[in-house]
Amino acid sequence: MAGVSFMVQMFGYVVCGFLALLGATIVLLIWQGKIDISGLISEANGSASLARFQFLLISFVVTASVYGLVEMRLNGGGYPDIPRGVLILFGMSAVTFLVSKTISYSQPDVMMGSSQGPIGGVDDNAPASRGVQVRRQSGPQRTDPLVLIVVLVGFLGVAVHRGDLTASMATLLAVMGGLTVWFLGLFMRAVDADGPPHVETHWGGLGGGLGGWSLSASLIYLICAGVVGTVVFVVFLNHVILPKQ
Amino acid sequence: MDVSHILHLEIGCFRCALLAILAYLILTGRISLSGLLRRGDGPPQLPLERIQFLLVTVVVCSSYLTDVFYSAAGKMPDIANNWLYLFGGSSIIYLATKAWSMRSR
Repeated sequence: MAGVSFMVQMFGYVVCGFLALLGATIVLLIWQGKIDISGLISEANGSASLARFQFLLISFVVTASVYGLVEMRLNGGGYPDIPRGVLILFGMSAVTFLVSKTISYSQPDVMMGSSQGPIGGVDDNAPASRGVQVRRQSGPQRTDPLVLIVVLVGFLGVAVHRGDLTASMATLLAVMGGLTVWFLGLFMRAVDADGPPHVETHWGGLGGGLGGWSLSASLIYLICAGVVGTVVFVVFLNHVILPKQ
Repeated sequence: MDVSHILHLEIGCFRCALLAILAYLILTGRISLSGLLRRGDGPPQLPLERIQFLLVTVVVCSSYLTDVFYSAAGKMPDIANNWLYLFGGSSIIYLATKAWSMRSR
Protein backbone atom coordinates (compact mmCIF):
# COMPACT_ATOMS: atom_id res chain seq x y z
CA MET A 1 0.00 0.00 0.00
CA ALA A 2 2.85 2.32 0.88
CA GLY A 3 4.53 1.43 -2.42
CA VAL A 4 1.41 2.40 -4.40
CA SER A 5 1.13 5.68 -2.52
CA PHE A 6 4.78 6.42 -3.25
CA MET A 7 4.25 5.67 -6.96
CA VAL A 8 1.21 7.97 -7.11
CA GLN A 9 3.19 10.74 -5.46
CA MET A 10 6.10 10.26 -7.86
CA PHE A 11 3.67 10.37 -10.79
CA GLY A 12 2.33 13.67 -9.39
CA TYR A 13 5.83 15.13 -9.26
CA VAL A 14 6.50 14.02 -12.86
CA VAL A 15 3.27 15.69 -14.01
CA CYS A 16 4.26 18.85 -12.10
CA GLY A 17 7.67 18.83 -13.82
CA PHE A 18 6.09 18.35 -17.24
CA LEU A 19 3.62 21.19 -16.68
CA ALA A 20 6.39 23.47 -15.43
CA LEU A 21 8.46 22.75 -18.56
CA LEU A 22 5.42 23.28 -20.78
CA GLY A 23 4.56 26.60 -19.13
CA ALA A 24 8.16 27.83 -19.25
CA THR A 25 8.42 26.88 -22.94
CA ILE A 26 5.21 28.74 -23.81
CA VAL A 27 6.34 31.85 -21.92
CA LEU A 28 9.80 31.69 -23.54
CA LEU A 29 8.39 31.29 -27.06
CA ILE A 30 6.01 34.22 -26.55
CA TRP A 31 8.89 36.32 -25.21
CA GLN A 32 11.08 35.42 -28.21
CA GLY A 33 8.24 36.23 -30.59
CA LYS A 34 8.02 32.69 -31.98
CA ILE A 35 4.45 32.55 -30.68
CA ASP A 36 3.27 35.83 -32.12
CA ILE A 37 0.54 37.56 -30.09
CA SER A 38 1.13 41.02 -31.54
CA GLY A 39 -2.20 40.79 -33.38
CA LEU A 40 -4.14 39.69 -30.30
CA ILE A 41 -6.50 42.66 -30.35
CA SER A 42 -5.89 43.92 -33.88
CA GLU A 43 -8.27 44.10 -36.78
CA ALA A 44 -7.10 42.98 -40.21
CA ASN A 45 -6.12 46.56 -41.06
CA GLY A 46 -3.74 46.71 -38.10
CA SER A 47 -5.68 49.06 -35.82
CA ALA A 48 -6.80 47.86 -32.39
CA SER A 49 -10.33 46.49 -32.04
CA LEU A 50 -12.41 47.68 -29.11
CA ALA A 51 -14.65 44.58 -29.24
CA ARG A 52 -11.65 42.25 -29.04
CA PHE A 53 -10.18 44.32 -26.23
CA GLN A 54 -13.35 44.16 -24.09
CA PHE A 55 -13.69 40.40 -24.76
CA LEU A 56 -10.09 39.89 -23.65
CA LEU A 57 -10.64 42.03 -20.55
CA ILE A 58 -13.84 40.27 -19.51
CA SER A 59 -12.39 36.80 -20.23
CA PHE A 60 -9.42 37.69 -18.07
CA VAL A 61 -11.58 39.01 -15.22
CA VAL A 62 -13.86 35.93 -15.20
CA THR A 63 -11.03 33.38 -15.45
CA ALA A 64 -8.94 35.21 -12.85
CA SER A 65 -11.93 35.26 -10.50
CA VAL A 66 -12.62 31.54 -10.96
CA TYR A 67 -8.94 30.69 -10.50
CA GLY A 68 -8.67 32.92 -7.43
CA LEU A 69 -11.67 31.26 -5.82
CA VAL A 70 -10.41 27.77 -6.69
CA GLU A 71 -7.16 28.74 -4.95
CA MET A 72 -9.11 29.81 -1.85
CA ARG A 73 -10.91 26.46 -1.81
CA LEU A 74 -7.72 24.47 -2.36
CA ASN A 75 -8.22 22.41 0.73
CA GLY A 76 -12.03 22.56 0.69
CA GLY A 77 -12.22 20.95 -2.75
CA GLY A 78 -14.47 21.58 -5.72
CA TYR A 79 -15.00 24.36 -8.19
CA PRO A 80 -17.10 27.39 -7.28
CA ASP A 81 -20.52 27.66 -8.90
CA ILE A 82 -20.56 30.32 -11.61
CA PRO A 83 -23.58 32.60 -11.07
CA ARG A 84 -26.09 33.29 -13.80
CA GLY A 85 -25.16 36.99 -14.04
CA VAL A 86 -21.53 36.19 -14.82
CA LEU A 87 -22.53 33.77 -17.57
CA ILE A 88 -24.85 36.40 -19.07
CA LEU A 89 -22.08 39.02 -18.96
CA PHE A 90 -19.63 36.61 -20.61
CA GLY A 91 -22.22 35.74 -23.26
CA MET A 92 -22.99 39.39 -24.00
CA SER A 93 -19.29 40.10 -24.34
CA ALA A 94 -18.82 37.22 -26.79
CA VAL A 95 -21.88 38.21 -28.82
CA THR A 96 -20.67 41.82 -28.99
CA PHE A 97 -17.32 40.58 -30.29
CA LEU A 98 -18.93 38.32 -32.91
CA VAL A 99 -21.40 40.96 -34.12
CA SER A 100 -18.63 43.55 -34.28
CA LYS A 101 -16.49 41.17 -36.32
CA THR A 102 -19.41 40.46 -38.64
CA ILE A 103 -20.03 44.18 -39.17
CA SER A 104 -16.34 44.78 -39.82
CA TYR A 105 -15.99 41.99 -42.35
CA SER A 106 -19.26 42.80 -44.08
CA GLN A 107 -17.26 45.40 -45.97
CA PRO A 108 -13.81 43.90 -46.60
CA ASP A 109 -12.76 46.94 -48.64
CA VAL A 110 -13.19 49.14 -45.59
CA MET A 111 -11.42 46.66 -43.31
CA MET A 112 -8.44 46.47 -45.63
CA GLY A 113 -8.56 50.24 -46.10
CA SER A 114 -5.43 52.13 -46.96
CA SER A 115 -5.95 55.28 -44.93
CA GLN A 116 -3.79 53.89 -42.12
CA GLY A 117 -0.82 55.16 -44.04
CA PRO A 118 2.01 53.08 -45.39
CA ILE A 119 1.66 49.64 -43.87
CA GLY A 120 4.53 47.27 -44.20
CA GLY A 121 5.01 47.82 -47.92
CA VAL A 122 1.72 46.21 -48.95
CA ASP A 123 1.35 45.77 -52.67
CA ASP A 124 -2.09 46.83 -53.90
CA ASN A 125 -1.80 44.37 -56.75
CA ALA A 126 -1.48 41.39 -54.43
CA PRO A 127 -4.86 41.08 -52.76
CA ALA A 128 -4.33 37.45 -51.72
CA SER A 129 -1.42 38.28 -49.48
CA ARG A 130 -2.84 41.55 -48.29
CA GLY A 131 -4.85 40.27 -45.37
CA VAL A 132 -1.77 38.67 -43.90
CA GLN A 133 0.62 41.46 -44.62
CA VAL A 134 -1.46 44.38 -43.41
CA ARG A 135 -1.05 43.20 -39.83
CA ARG A 136 2.67 43.79 -40.00
CA GLN A 137 3.21 47.43 -39.25
CA SER A 138 6.38 49.22 -40.24
CA GLY A 139 7.13 49.96 -36.60
CA PRO A 140 5.53 49.79 -33.15
CA GLN A 141 2.40 51.87 -32.77
CA ARG A 142 2.23 53.67 -29.45
CA THR A 143 -0.72 53.24 -27.13
CA ASP A 144 -3.28 55.98 -27.54
CA PRO A 145 -3.10 58.14 -24.34
CA LEU A 146 -6.87 58.68 -24.56
CA VAL A 147 -7.38 54.94 -23.89
CA LEU A 148 -5.36 55.14 -20.68
CA ILE A 149 -7.20 58.30 -19.58
CA VAL A 150 -10.60 56.63 -20.13
CA VAL A 151 -9.44 53.56 -18.16
CA LEU A 152 -8.23 55.82 -15.33
CA VAL A 153 -11.56 57.66 -15.24
CA GLY A 154 -13.34 54.29 -15.12
CA PHE A 155 -11.35 53.13 -12.09
CA LEU A 156 -11.91 56.45 -10.32
CA GLY A 157 -15.66 56.18 -11.07
CA VAL A 158 -15.76 52.79 -9.35
CA ALA A 159 -13.85 54.18 -6.35
CA VAL A 160 -16.35 57.06 -6.01
CA HIS A 161 -19.28 54.66 -6.41
CA ARG A 162 -17.93 52.50 -3.58
CA GLY A 163 -17.24 55.48 -1.34
CA ASP A 164 -13.46 54.97 -1.31
CA LEU A 165 -12.96 58.46 -2.77
CA THR A 166 -14.88 61.71 -2.63
CA ALA A 167 -16.04 63.15 -5.95
CA SER A 168 -13.80 66.21 -5.62
CA MET A 169 -10.74 64.07 -4.88
CA ALA A 170 -11.56 61.78 -7.82
CA THR A 171 -11.86 64.80 -10.11
CA LEU A 172 -8.51 66.14 -8.94
CA LEU A 173 -6.88 62.73 -9.44
CA ALA A 174 -8.52 62.35 -12.88
CA VAL A 175 -7.21 65.74 -14.05
CA MET A 176 -3.70 65.24 -12.66
CA GLY A 177 -3.53 61.59 -13.74
CA GLY A 178 -4.81 62.55 -17.20
CA LEU A 179 -2.10 65.20 -17.45
CA THR A 180 0.54 62.62 -16.47
CA VAL A 181 -0.66 60.20 -19.14
CA TRP A 182 -0.82 63.00 -21.70
CA PHE A 183 2.76 64.09 -20.95
CA LEU A 184 3.90 60.47 -21.17
CA GLY A 185 2.20 60.21 -24.58
CA LEU A 186 3.99 63.36 -25.75
CA PHE A 187 7.24 61.92 -24.37
CA MET A 188 6.77 58.70 -26.39
CA ARG A 189 6.06 60.67 -29.56
CA ALA A 190 9.07 62.92 -28.97
CA VAL A 191 11.29 59.85 -28.47
CA ASP A 192 10.01 58.42 -31.76
CA ALA A 193 10.69 61.69 -33.58
CA ASP A 194 13.83 62.94 -31.90
CA GLY A 195 15.47 59.97 -30.18
CA PRO A 196 16.00 59.42 -26.45
CA PRO A 197 16.10 62.35 -23.99
CA HIS A 198 19.31 64.34 -24.17
CA VAL A 199 20.92 67.61 -23.12
CA GLU A 200 22.97 69.64 -25.59
CA THR A 201 25.52 72.32 -24.90
CA HIS A 202 26.32 74.98 -27.46
CA TRP A 203 28.77 77.80 -27.21
CA GLY A 204 27.01 80.46 -29.23
CA GLY A 205 28.80 83.29 -31.04
CA LEU A 206 31.56 85.65 -30.04
CA GLY A 207 31.91 85.89 -26.30
CA GLY A 208 29.53 83.00 -25.85
CA GLY A 209 26.60 85.34 -25.25
CA LEU A 210 24.21 82.91 -26.88
CA GLY A 211 25.75 79.80 -25.37
CA GLY A 212 24.11 77.54 -22.83
CA TRP A 213 22.20 74.33 -22.36
CA SER A 214 19.38 73.04 -24.41
CA LEU A 215 17.01 70.26 -23.30
CA SER A 216 15.40 67.94 -25.84
CA ALA A 217 11.59 68.03 -26.07
CA SER A 218 11.36 64.44 -24.82
CA LEU A 219 13.32 65.33 -21.67
CA ILE A 220 11.03 68.29 -20.95
CA TYR A 221 7.92 66.08 -21.35
CA LEU A 222 9.49 63.43 -19.13
CA ILE A 223 10.22 66.00 -16.40
CA CYS A 224 6.65 67.34 -16.61
CA ALA A 225 5.22 63.80 -16.41
CA GLY A 226 7.48 63.04 -13.44
CA VAL A 227 6.47 66.18 -11.53
CA VAL A 228 2.71 65.78 -12.12
CA GLY A 229 2.91 62.01 -11.52
CA THR A 230 4.70 62.56 -8.21
CA VAL A 231 1.99 65.00 -7.11
CA VAL A 232 -0.70 62.43 -8.01
CA PHE A 233 1.16 59.72 -6.08
CA VAL A 234 1.58 61.89 -2.98
CA VAL A 235 -2.09 62.97 -3.02
CA PHE A 236 -3.20 59.35 -3.51
CA LEU A 237 -0.95 58.16 -0.70
CA ASN A 238 -2.01 60.84 1.79
CA HIS A 239 -5.74 60.87 1.08
CA VAL A 240 -6.55 57.30 0.07
CA ILE A 241 -3.98 54.79 1.34
CA LEU A 242 -2.72 56.26 4.63
CA PRO A 243 -6.09 57.33 6.16
CA LYS A 244 -7.27 53.70 5.95
CA GLN A 245 -4.31 52.39 7.95
CA MET B 1 6.21 19.81 -0.47
CA ASP B 2 2.76 18.63 -1.46
CA VAL B 3 2.02 18.09 -5.19
CA SER B 4 -1.06 20.33 -5.08
CA HIS B 5 0.99 23.17 -3.62
CA ILE B 6 3.65 22.80 -6.31
CA LEU B 7 0.91 22.92 -8.98
CA HIS B 8 -0.58 25.95 -7.27
CA LEU B 9 2.81 27.67 -7.33
CA GLU B 10 3.44 26.75 -10.97
CA ILE B 11 0.08 28.05 -12.18
CA GLY B 12 0.55 31.26 -10.20
CA CYS B 13 4.00 31.80 -11.73
CA PHE B 14 2.70 31.03 -15.24
CA ARG B 15 -0.18 33.45 -14.81
CA CYS B 16 2.09 36.22 -13.52
CA ALA B 17 4.62 35.66 -16.33
CA LEU B 18 1.88 35.82 -18.98
CA LEU B 19 0.46 38.99 -17.45
CA ALA B 20 3.91 40.59 -17.28
CA ILE B 21 4.64 39.74 -20.92
CA LEU B 22 1.24 41.06 -22.00
CA ALA B 23 1.79 44.32 -20.09
CA TYR B 24 5.32 44.65 -21.51
CA LEU B 25 4.14 44.08 -25.09
CA ILE B 26 1.32 46.61 -24.69
CA LEU B 27 3.54 49.24 -23.07
CA THR B 28 6.26 48.88 -25.72
CA GLY B 29 3.70 49.11 -28.52
CA ARG B 30 4.25 45.59 -29.87
CA ILE B 31 0.60 44.87 -29.06
CA SER B 32 -0.85 48.06 -30.35
CA LEU B 33 -3.74 49.85 -28.67
CA SER B 34 -3.51 52.55 -31.28
CA GLY B 35 -6.84 53.14 -32.98
CA LEU B 36 -8.83 51.64 -30.11
CA LEU B 37 -10.81 54.84 -29.82
CA ARG B 38 -10.72 55.80 -33.49
CA ARG B 39 -13.84 55.51 -35.58
CA GLY B 40 -12.95 53.74 -38.87
CA ASP B 41 -11.10 55.67 -41.50
CA GLY B 42 -13.23 58.78 -41.48
CA PRO B 43 -12.26 62.28 -40.38
CA PRO B 44 -11.07 62.57 -36.78
CA GLN B 45 -14.06 62.97 -34.43
CA LEU B 46 -14.61 62.36 -30.75
CA PRO B 47 -15.88 58.74 -30.76
CA LEU B 48 -18.29 59.00 -27.85
CA GLU B 49 -19.79 55.53 -28.40
CA ARG B 50 -16.33 53.95 -28.14
CA ILE B 51 -15.38 55.97 -25.07
CA GLN B 52 -18.60 55.04 -23.25
CA PHE B 53 -18.20 51.35 -24.19
CA LEU B 54 -14.61 51.23 -22.92
CA LEU B 55 -15.60 53.14 -19.80
CA VAL B 56 -18.51 50.80 -19.03
CA THR B 57 -16.34 47.72 -19.64
CA VAL B 58 -13.64 48.99 -17.29
CA VAL B 59 -16.17 49.97 -14.64
CA VAL B 60 -18.01 46.62 -14.78
CA CYS B 61 -14.74 44.64 -14.69
CA SER B 62 -13.18 46.58 -11.82
CA SER B 63 -16.43 46.53 -9.86
CA TYR B 64 -16.71 42.77 -10.25
CA LEU B 65 -13.05 42.21 -9.34
CA THR B 66 -13.60 44.25 -6.17
CA ASP B 67 -16.65 42.12 -5.34
CA VAL B 68 -14.58 38.96 -5.84
CA PHE B 69 -11.79 40.36 -3.67
CA TYR B 70 -14.19 41.02 -0.80
CA SER B 71 -16.33 37.91 -1.32
CA ALA B 72 -16.62 35.63 1.67
CA ALA B 73 -16.19 31.86 1.89
CA GLY B 74 -14.79 31.39 -1.61
CA LYS B 75 -18.16 31.97 -3.28
CA MET B 76 -18.36 33.67 -6.66
CA PRO B 77 -20.42 36.85 -6.35
CA ASP B 78 -23.27 37.46 -8.77
CA ILE B 79 -23.55 40.56 -10.95
CA ALA B 80 -26.52 42.82 -10.27
CA ASN B 81 -29.04 43.14 -13.09
CA ASN B 82 -28.40 46.89 -13.30
CA TRP B 83 -24.79 46.26 -14.33
CA LEU B 84 -25.96 43.79 -17.00
CA TYR B 85 -28.47 46.32 -18.37
CA LEU B 86 -25.73 48.95 -18.43
CA PHE B 87 -23.29 46.68 -20.25
CA GLY B 88 -25.92 45.44 -22.69
CA GLY B 89 -27.09 48.97 -23.47
CA SER B 90 -23.55 50.17 -23.93
CA SER B 91 -22.78 47.27 -26.31
CA ILE B 92 -25.91 47.99 -28.35
CA ILE B 93 -25.01 51.68 -28.67
CA TYR B 94 -21.47 50.76 -29.78
CA LEU B 95 -22.61 48.13 -32.30
CA ALA B 96 -25.43 50.27 -33.70
CA THR B 97 -23.08 53.22 -34.24
CA LYS B 98 -20.50 50.97 -35.83
CA ALA B 99 -23.07 49.38 -38.15
CA TRP B 100 -24.43 52.81 -39.08
CA SER B 101 -21.00 54.25 -39.84
CA MET B 102 -20.07 51.21 -41.97
CA ARG B 103 -23.36 51.41 -43.85
CA SER B 104 -23.00 55.09 -44.61
CA ARG B 105 -19.67 54.56 -46.41
